[in-house]
Formats: sequence, structure tokens, C-alpha cells
Amino acid sequence: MIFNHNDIGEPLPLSGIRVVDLTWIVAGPQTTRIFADLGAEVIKVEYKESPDYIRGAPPFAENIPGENRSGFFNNLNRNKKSLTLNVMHPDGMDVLKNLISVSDVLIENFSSKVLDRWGLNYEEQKKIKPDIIYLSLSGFGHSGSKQDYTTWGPTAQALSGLTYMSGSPDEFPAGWGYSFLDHTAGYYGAIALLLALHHRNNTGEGQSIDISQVETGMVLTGTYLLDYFVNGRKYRRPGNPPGNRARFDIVAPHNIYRCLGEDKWIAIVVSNNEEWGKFCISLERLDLLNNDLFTTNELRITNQDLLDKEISKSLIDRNSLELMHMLQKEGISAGIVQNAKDRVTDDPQLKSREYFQTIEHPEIGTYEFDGFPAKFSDIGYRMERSSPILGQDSKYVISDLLGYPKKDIDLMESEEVF
Amino acid sequence: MITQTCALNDIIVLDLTDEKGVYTGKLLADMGATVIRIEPISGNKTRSIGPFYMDQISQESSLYDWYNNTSKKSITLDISTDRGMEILKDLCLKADIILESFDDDYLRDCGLTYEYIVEKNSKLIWTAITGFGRTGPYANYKTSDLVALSLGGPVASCGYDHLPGSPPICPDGWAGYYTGSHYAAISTLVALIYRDMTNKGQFIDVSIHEAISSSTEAALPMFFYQNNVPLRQTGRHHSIIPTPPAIYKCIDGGMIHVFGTPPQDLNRWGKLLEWIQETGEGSELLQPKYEEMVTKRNRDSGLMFTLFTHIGRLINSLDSEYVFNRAQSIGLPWGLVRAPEENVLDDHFWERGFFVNIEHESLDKSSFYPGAPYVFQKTPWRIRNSSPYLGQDNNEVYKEMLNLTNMDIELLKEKKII
Repeated sequence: MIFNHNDIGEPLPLSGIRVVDLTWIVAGPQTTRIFADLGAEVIKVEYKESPDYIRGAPPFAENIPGENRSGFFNNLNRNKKSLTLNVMHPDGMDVLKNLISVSDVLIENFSSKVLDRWGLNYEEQKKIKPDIIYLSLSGFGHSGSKQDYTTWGPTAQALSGLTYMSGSPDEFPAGWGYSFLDHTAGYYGAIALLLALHHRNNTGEGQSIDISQVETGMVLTGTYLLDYFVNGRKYRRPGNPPGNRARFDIVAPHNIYRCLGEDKWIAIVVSNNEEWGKFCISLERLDLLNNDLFTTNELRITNQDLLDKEISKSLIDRNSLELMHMLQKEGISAGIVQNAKDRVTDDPQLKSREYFQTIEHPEIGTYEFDGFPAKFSDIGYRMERSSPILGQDSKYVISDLLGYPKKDIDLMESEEVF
Repeated sequence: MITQTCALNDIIVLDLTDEKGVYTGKLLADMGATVIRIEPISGNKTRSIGPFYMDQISQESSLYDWYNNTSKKSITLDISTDRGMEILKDLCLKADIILESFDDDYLRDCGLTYEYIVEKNSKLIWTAITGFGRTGPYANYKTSDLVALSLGGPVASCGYDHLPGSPPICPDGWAGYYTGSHYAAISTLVALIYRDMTNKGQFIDVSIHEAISSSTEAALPMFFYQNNVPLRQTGRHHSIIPTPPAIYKCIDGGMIHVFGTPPQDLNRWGKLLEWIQETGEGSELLQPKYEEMVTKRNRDSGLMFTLFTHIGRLINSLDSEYVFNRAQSIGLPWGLVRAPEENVLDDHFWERGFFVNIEHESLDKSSFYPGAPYVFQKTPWRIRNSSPYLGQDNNEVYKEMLNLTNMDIELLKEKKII
């Protein structure tokens, strides 16, 4: 096995894996971003008349819209190749089938019947490539009475329970301020494909995998579902969700407190009496340490309203970052609420691990990207190529990879097959 | 061709993680790996996290522990003793993967380093899951789910714009640690694929902080491309420009999350307008400028607020199940805002076999569990056993893996090493 390498010479572990990527928006592209970063050849198939919706989503470079100018798209689709294809044209379908015949994985996040309509369900794919691994990522999965229902990240979050679980007690749901579940469904897609690849390495067989985005949210609520099944206790009850206080493991203080400056906050978790002592001494609040209302964790939980009020008084005039470092030096879990700017410009941890890197894009120039969240001793990931210009790699795929003769390609070009 | 029904039945995993990484082992165990929890004699900390079965607090009744340790085995081992460390080293020689989430120095202080292991078992994959990674100025900082989600970015995007001055909100339910575990599973499986090809293991340093920071959707691109930081809004996407509310109450008290609206095509747009006009309202939406919201993706703030005022009134006047089903029937991806347990009432998930009945041998009782995040055709996800009680598999594991005798095991118990 010969591996491709990244620019610092580390082998890319998914070298040699080719992915036919029919996904768009966020969840599917999240799966294939991971594969592309780790060395797989991801060929993103788009229809020119209606390319990936995120190509039209802000933010745009220099605030100028354009199908190759979305920063959101660039971030999600780095290291991938772009093939434009009209699969409603017989020649387009022919190209797609030939591409499947030389690929390892096919992934799509259409609603559940689309590939059937194209005559490309798993049974048909197998005829083209017997050991193909086929992953579908849909809202409700490919079975069950709601299989035709569709979701986007926020509505899948709402259905799974995640939206309800975020908020202050007895307040409106705060929910998630973005499509967290698009990432999560994408992660389950990557886990599933890697499992299937390992199985194929062992046995030579491919298989199909069906992921429901709503279910990938439901598995994150597992403990609360068990509480319902075995104790009959509903999550929907007075006092829930708990705001920033601990529901489990129940400790106090456990909250987010306002600090000095515009929208500056710090999260603090004090886990035991030893930490409580250090916390009070650090804040020079011996009165709290000596207060009978706060001497045990149980008492601190019971008297949490008063406790949080007292702590807030001590934090409101303090610099959140200095406070975090001071408490962490005492072994207390504390962290400021960081927005994107804080993470990019002021986070020494992310900087020291070279988490942010840059890639040059042929049309919009050089921009920053978030990296892969793990470091490996023997392999690496790449930050090699920006997201593809729409159709950038069509000729590479059709001519170099699939070997179509020039006259066929010219004909396809004239009929706008790609 | 070899027949296998588990993707990972060739893999032995030693799981030394606490709550930071405990879910990683479940992901591998439910796909067939032999995952052996190695717990201190007093039990892993996860056993003390509630809620508890029948609210009886004991080492064996934590539902959090039940959920996150399905399909695993448990042995006890005091790795802070010399003999205990020897035994751990012997186990490492027989294992494929080790998962741990200790503070940086702990295992080294106990006498175990990757350098030592790699000489004896170069195939071992060692995955370390820590709050901030093993290097950098925060390497020894203490995390928690609240602190991880605050520093990593999600909290800054979640909260209430209709309650001025209110704190940002951290979603309940360990989403930060789950995100770390998702990346830990992805990284471990990527290393396994590399090992399939090369016979070489490696060390992996997973940072929960980076995993979360890579899961904040367009927040980073908004800063990279436009120097903007989005503002959090009640129950909906963070945004640079205020957007209309997305969650609306129905007459039965249920709530609907509206998204993907206006839709991307005129067909669905027409059906939405028809529906609104059934209430005798919304004739102003027939003006061409509203149609341009679909055809030109015009997101003029005034038009959006007017459209959503009509949608809100429509939803307010109807029953929530009706709104959900009707919206879906015309291709609008709206969702109910459900508490986790409300999905138990939805036949769809039972039809898909999502909830599975698991026997608790130690309690002589069975209960339903939330099930598969993915439906595999050939190597199905499966809970093989309920979470093990503390030290349940001491005899089996020490005899089979290390050839210890009954007498050896009794002696180790006497010396409180196991």
C-alpha cells in the first residue's frame, strides 16, 4: 500500500479510498470533509443548474456573492474535487455509473426515495461495484412511516429533544444557536463508513448503511430516555431544563457568571469541598467559606440561588480571562465563554497546537480553516486544496480517471452533460 | 469469503476513560469489539453520576453509567500499585486499542508510557481523550462539559435575545463530551484502517476543545471572511442581522420549529401560501417581491419578518401534530419541539426498531434502551449486554487473557490489587 503524504511528509491514512459524494448542505459534507482531510479522494457531484445550496450561503469573501465565494462552503468542502453532472441525461448517468465502478464509497443525503428514482438503489449499485459501501443520511431514515419526512439541522434538533434540553427553567427553549446536529449526523456518517471499511478489509464485502439525523440526536439523550423507561420520569417537568446549572453530576457552584466588559462570561464548576475551599480563598471570600449555608455540596445545591448571587457579586468586576487562569491554577474547572473571534485571535491553546491553518483559493484568495481535532503519532491530515470551483475536476474525472475518449467528451460538453 | 456479523469482532479494547471519553468505548462495543472497562476498586466515577434507577444511589444504579457502558465488560485493577501496573502492561500486549482520559501525567507517573508499549506491541492504538490535548499551555487545565462547551464556542451562540442581559445558555446533556467522543471514535477507527494496511498502531491525542471548536457551523467562517461575530437569538440560529422567531406555540401547547422557509422552489412556496390563505390572511404575500425570496434567495429582513408573522399566526391557531404533518406533506422541513421521551410515542422509531429491549441480569429486569445511531445491513449495531457491574468479568478476563489461576485471582483480591 502506497500512501499519499501531506506537505510535512505524514502519510494520509485514507489514501486510495475513493468516495462518490452526492451530498450537499452540511451533514453529508461534514462526513466527506473528514474523509477528504484524511486523504480519501472525495469527488463531489453537483448539478450545474442547482449546485450545493451552501455555495449560495453567507458569509461570502469580500461580501460579494458567487458560487465559488462562500466561506461556509469553502470551509466544509476543502480537499474535495468537483464534478458537475446532469444525471438526467443518459450520458451523465453513464458517467456516474462508471465512477461508481471505480469507487469504494457512495454517500448521499437526499430524502429517502431519490436514488430509487434514479435507478441507483443499493441493489443496483452492487451490480456496478459488488463491494461498494453505500451510506444514506436522511432526516428519518429509509424505513418507518415517516421516511419521507425531511429535516434540516434545527428541526432535527427540535424533534430529537436537543432543542428542548437547552434553556433556562420555565423559559422558552433557547435551543442550539446553529445546526449542531448537522455536525453530529456527519460524525456518525464518518464513524459508520470507517466501520464498514474495516469490515471490508476483513471480509471483502461492502454493505449499505442507513442513518437518520433525528436518531443521531436521540442517542445523545440516552440517559434521559432511560430515566423515562425505568423510572417513568419525564424530562418535560418543572425546573427543566436546568439553565447553566448541573442536572447531573449535581454539584454547585456550576454556572455561567457575568464578568467585566461587553458580553464577557465565565463558566465555573466546583466539584468538591477541597475545590470549594480553594475557590473561596482565590476570590477572597472567606465569608462564603465560613458560611454554614455552603459547607457541603448538598447545602450548596440547596442554597444555590443565594450562592450564585454572592459569587456573581465577586465576579462582575473582574477580567474573565485572568479569572480563568487563576482558578485553573487552583485546579478548578473554569473557562470563558469564547465566541469565534476569541477562539481565532485570543486562544493560546488553539494557537500552540496550530489548530488554525490557511489554504489558498484560486478565486477568493487565502483564508483560515479549523483543523482536525486530534494529533496522530504516525499519520496526518492535509490542508492542501481549498473547496473546488464548481466543475473544476470534471475533465479529470471523465477523461483521466474514467478514460472517456475525447470525441465523447466533446459531445457531452456540447450537450451540457457536465 | 469470511462471514462476520460484527464489524469489530476482531478487536479488543481496554477502556480506562472517565466521563470525558466513556461513550467512545460504547460506540466500539455496540459494533462488536470486546471492550473491557478497567476500573479502580472503588469503581469508575461514571457510576456516581445520576439519575439513578429507582432513585437509589449505588454503584450499580447510575443510568448515565448504564447508558454509556452497554456491551462492555468490567474488571477492577488498582493501577497505582506496582503489581497492578504490571497487569495493565500485560493486558496492553493482548489488546488492539487502549482508550484513556487521564490527566497528562497520571499514567506516566504510574509507570506506563506509549514509548514503552510501542516496543512490546507495535500494533496497539492508544487514544488519549483530554479536555485540551496533551500539549500546549492548557494541557493541564481541568475541563467539564460546561467549561468545554463555553471555551469551544457553542455557548456563545445559544441563549435569549428577548431577555436583554441574560446569560448565554449551555445545552444540557453532555453534548461537549459526546462531541469529543465522536472525534475519538473517528480518530481511533482511522488509525485502525491504517493498521489494516500497515500492521502498525499509534498514539492519538484527541482534544475535546478542538472537537467542539470544529462543531460550530458558520461561526468560524463568519469571522474568517467578514470579521463578524453572530449574536445569539432565542431558539434559532445565531445571526449578524436579527432574524424572525423560529419557534411558535400551537393551541395544544406544543411547539413547532420553522426552518427551510421560504422553501427553495415555487411549488412548495405556492402550497405554503395556499395554507396561509386558508385562514383568510396573507394576501400581501402574493406580491412578486415575496416570490423573489424563493427565486432570488432574497432575504430582506422586512419581508422575512412579515412572512414569519403570518406563519406564526397560522401555527398559533392550529394543533401541533397537524401542523407538523401538514408542513411535511407539502415538503416543508418543520419539526415539533419534543422533550426526549416524547419520541417514545412516535410509532416511526418503533417501526425502525430504534428502541431495543435489554435484559439486566443483575436486576432480573429488562427495559427499553435508545438504540442504533446507524442501521448496518451486514454488521448490525447491537447491545450485547447491559452495562457490567463493577468487576463482573474479573475471573473471565484475567483467566482467559493472562492465564491467571483461581488462586492468583484470590491473592490479587486479598491484596486489593483487583
